[in-house]
Amino acid sequence: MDAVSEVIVARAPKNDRLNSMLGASALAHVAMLTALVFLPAWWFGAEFEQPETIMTISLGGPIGPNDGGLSTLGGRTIQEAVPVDVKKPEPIRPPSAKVPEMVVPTKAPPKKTPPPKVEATDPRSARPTKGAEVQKGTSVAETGAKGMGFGLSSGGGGAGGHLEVSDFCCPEFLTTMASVIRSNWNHQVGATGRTHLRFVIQKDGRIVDITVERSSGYEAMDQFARRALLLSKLPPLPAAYGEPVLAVHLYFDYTR
Amino acid sequence: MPPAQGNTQHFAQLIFEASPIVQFIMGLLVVFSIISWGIVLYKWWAFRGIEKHTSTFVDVFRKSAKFSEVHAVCPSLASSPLVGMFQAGYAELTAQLRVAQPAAASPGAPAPRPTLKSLAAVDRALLRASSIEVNKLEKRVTFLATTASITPFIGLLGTVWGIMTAFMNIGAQGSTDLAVVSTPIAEALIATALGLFAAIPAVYFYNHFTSKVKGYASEMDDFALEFLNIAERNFT
Repeated sequence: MDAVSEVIVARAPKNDRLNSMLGASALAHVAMLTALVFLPAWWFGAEFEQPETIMTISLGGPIGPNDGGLSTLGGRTIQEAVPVDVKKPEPIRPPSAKVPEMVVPTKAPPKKTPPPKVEATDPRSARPTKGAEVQKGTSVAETGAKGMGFGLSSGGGGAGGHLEVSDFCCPEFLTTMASVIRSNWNHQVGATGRTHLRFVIQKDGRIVDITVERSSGYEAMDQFARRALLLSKLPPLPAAYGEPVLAVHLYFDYTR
Repeated sequence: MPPAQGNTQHFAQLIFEASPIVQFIMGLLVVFSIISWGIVLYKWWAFRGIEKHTSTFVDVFRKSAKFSEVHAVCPSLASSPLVGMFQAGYAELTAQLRVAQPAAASPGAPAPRPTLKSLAAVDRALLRASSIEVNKLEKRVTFLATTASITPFIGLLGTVWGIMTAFMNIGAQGSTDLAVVSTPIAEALIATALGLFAAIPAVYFYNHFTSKVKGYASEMDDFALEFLNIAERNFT
């Protein structure tokens, strides 16, 4: 063979260390994968703050049970509606011939039957009356729920407001809240208008983060509404309500 | 502060619960990653040796007066591509001179200045050696390019497959609940992550190594010209 070719053949590529490097690489990968397996989970997930629960329900108007309103919160047992059983008409049979009887008249006085005892049970949990008046959507069941118009209005009747939670446990708290705020509210501005305020009630009952969601257009109305909130001292949030804060949207209706 | 366990799905859990095909794809990607990192380490180590040996060899080559001196140090600096070229050129040179010398020698006369028959033959020898050396330098670097271009697609395939099964599950369960949807999608996305994990270093090191090989190639061209110049000056 030619001298140059000898040199070239001698210098042909060899994989002297490739295999060991592949082994090192495999080891490194295995080490990293085990590290991934044994690392605590929170390394991979970013910590996140518990967000304020924001769900909206309306407490304002007259809402039936199908609208997710508050009328289901009454909690009183209601009467169960059962189907009215209709008796089959019996076939008409001719009366059987009666054998006349000879009866000796007696003088015994007719027995006095005592009046049937009426058991004083609670009719609400008793078996139902057999009314046919079961209609979807317009329940006549008395659930004990009270009207939830907790919005503030200087006229009659609540105008409304709503919470940012889906099922607030305790409507009594809202009633209290509305009455406390109402007592601090000067609604005599001599003009009509509506101010929407949003605020957050903290666990201890403090009202924070008051924002005017929609102004009435009159500075005075907004200020009076805001002032009513600032002056109000609410009881702490009910324990049954799990969240730390309760966000409320409240409408202040000024009427003349 | 670590939140309670269960807030986040554990990484390992996601991998182990993935569908078999996605798992296979993940395994394939890991194999690609292992091989490409092996090649990276190997090449890194090889190029470091080459760099050291080349600079030493160039020093020796420029300082010594005779090719035979340079030839003597060659075995200790074997990993430099310049050494291969020098050895090839030297072999061609000595072969030509050995053929030329006996004919010119006459007894008693002073040894004549050796002359080369063909400088072009030396040039060809250098060219052969340089192409061999470049091949050697480039060897296995192409696998990095393959990894860089293929693994994102393989990962994507895994993800698409995983999301497909996720949607089938949604269809089967009739629920678009986040708990139903998000876990399989997270599983599926791991495949893409693995693909990128394999591809990104491969791209980087492929560019790194090809630019190095280019540098060496131009250094070798330079060396070939220098060698030819010296040969021409001394042996023609």
